[in-house]
Amino acid sequence: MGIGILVLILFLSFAAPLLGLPSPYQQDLANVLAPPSWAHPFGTDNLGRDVFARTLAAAQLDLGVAFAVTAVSLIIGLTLGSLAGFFGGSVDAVIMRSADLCLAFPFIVLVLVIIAITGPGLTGVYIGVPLTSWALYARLTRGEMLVVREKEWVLAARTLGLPVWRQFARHSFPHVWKPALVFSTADFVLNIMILATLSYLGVGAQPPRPEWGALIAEGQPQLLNAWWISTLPGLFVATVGVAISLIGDGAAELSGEDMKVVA
Amino acid sequence: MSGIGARMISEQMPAVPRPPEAVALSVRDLSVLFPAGERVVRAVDRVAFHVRAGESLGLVGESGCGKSATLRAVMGLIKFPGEVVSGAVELQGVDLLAMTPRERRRARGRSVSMVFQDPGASLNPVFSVGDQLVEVLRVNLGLGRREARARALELLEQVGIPAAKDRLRSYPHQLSGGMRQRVMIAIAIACSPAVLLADEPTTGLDLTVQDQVLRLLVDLQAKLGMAMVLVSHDLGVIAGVCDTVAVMYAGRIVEYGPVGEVLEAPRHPYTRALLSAEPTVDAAAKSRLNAIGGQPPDLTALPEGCSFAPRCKFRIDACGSASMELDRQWPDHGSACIRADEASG
Repeated sequence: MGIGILVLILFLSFAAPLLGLPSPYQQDLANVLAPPSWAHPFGTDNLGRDVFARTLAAAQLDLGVAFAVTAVSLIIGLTLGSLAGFFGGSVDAVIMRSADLCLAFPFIVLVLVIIAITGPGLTGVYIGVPLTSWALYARLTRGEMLVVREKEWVLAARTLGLPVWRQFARHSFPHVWKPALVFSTADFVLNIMILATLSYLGVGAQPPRPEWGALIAEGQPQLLNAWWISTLPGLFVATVGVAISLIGDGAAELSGEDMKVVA
Repeated sequence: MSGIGARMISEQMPAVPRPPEAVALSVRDLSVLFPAGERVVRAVDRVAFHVRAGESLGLVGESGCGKSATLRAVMGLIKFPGEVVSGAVELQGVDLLAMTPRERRRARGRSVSMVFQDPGASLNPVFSVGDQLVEVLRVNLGLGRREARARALELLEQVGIPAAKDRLRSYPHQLSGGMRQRVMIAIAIACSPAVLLADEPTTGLDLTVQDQVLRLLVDLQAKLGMAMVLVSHDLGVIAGVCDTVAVMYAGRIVEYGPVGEVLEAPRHPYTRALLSAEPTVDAAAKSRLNAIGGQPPDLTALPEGCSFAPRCKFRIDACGSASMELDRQWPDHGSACIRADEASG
């Protein structure tokens, strides 16, 4: 179900030009603020641009950026968290205290600071999000690793004289990555929201580039006379969020572990 | 050292010939401590034993008497905050505890390896049996993929696994407990170690399977000329398999000797109590199990003198100040009881 919705959205987003939808940038000043109709399912904005086309175009940007930052956080967090859990001692102390440090900052403020340095745009998102969210993955994975490293097959690998990296990579790591992967589906949604929030605040994707948060922000002044410009993309984003959460639930079930993920 | 000096020392030592080249594993004065809050658990206390190539030693005792800790110390697997505070573990004349971590790692698997109690837990559930065997062969012996595969097949056949070729592709959960233990044994002997440590290898298996696994261990040991240390709480198992037996109590070896002598004519009251606590089939069904009274001692606060004294039927006042040294050393039948000869009479 979740995968179905997501695939449909991605398909529409890439196939939009073929389906006869106008370009997301094309202005039609004779037809501004038109309410939803068959020609413009989500209506048009104050420059006559098709809101549905813009919403679909934004899907590529939002899903792409959110996927990239989630994947980077996941990879860094998995690696550092499992190393911390496996080796313990000073490795653990250094990695986990860094994680604490990264989580201690109010998240949005940290990202805003980075954006203040890099200037408005997506660079701040690419740097700021992984900088904090790797720590969540690291904590999760470290906890798993603390359990797995005491398993008897890891001890058996030691008694057989296998090198440490094999004890780690072959006999421990394959047992710890699942929870982090499941968590990443929830984090993916969260990252879409973060990107949308930052763009809504005007420091993420810059106009005229279509982005969900930016679309909502653009429609806000017209909310009373053209409600569709903000509302319909907002509902669209909510649908995407639900779809990805469903994928996460499915993944949690498949991974066979009784996990409750807070999305 | 000059000839005279050497002779003098050898005259002072008890007349025990110790051909060093035949002793595969020699443990001397081994002590292991674990901190427990404010206090310290002396899990292994000045333990000493020797095993020659082709021979096997049984370590018996109740749960928590230090059997497994001894094996782990021999393997160099005591983890912080536990600590080996004294002793030497000589593997074919080389002290394992004095090795660098790298040398020690190389000795594991190649010179000494270990079979664990629960074969279900000691095989990695995400790799097939063949993968796990091949990994050890390739890493430790540097075999190529094809050679390792062939050798893995041989090993599985050697440990008596039917349809070994198909089993290479099986995952641990697809095998029965006995089969898993056979696989574990195959992995442990893959690099022909000189010493095999077995930590209760048959606990948790069916009686008939236990017997098969034990017989397999004995066969392999004889065939490969390995020295074996078998830990068990079951005297019956030790009797059937081992040449020598060491009875442990509260971290110490309290009786040590050839298995026949120890079981026929125990010289320590604890061994006698263990023997009479052993349930037998032909004992009248009505008779109650002959349990040993009292509890094993708190290892953080061992009593003065003999630590078995509080539970001992033969206790006398002198036990409170007795040292728990074995009265005779290997290979003789020694006991740590000051009344050894009276009590066993």
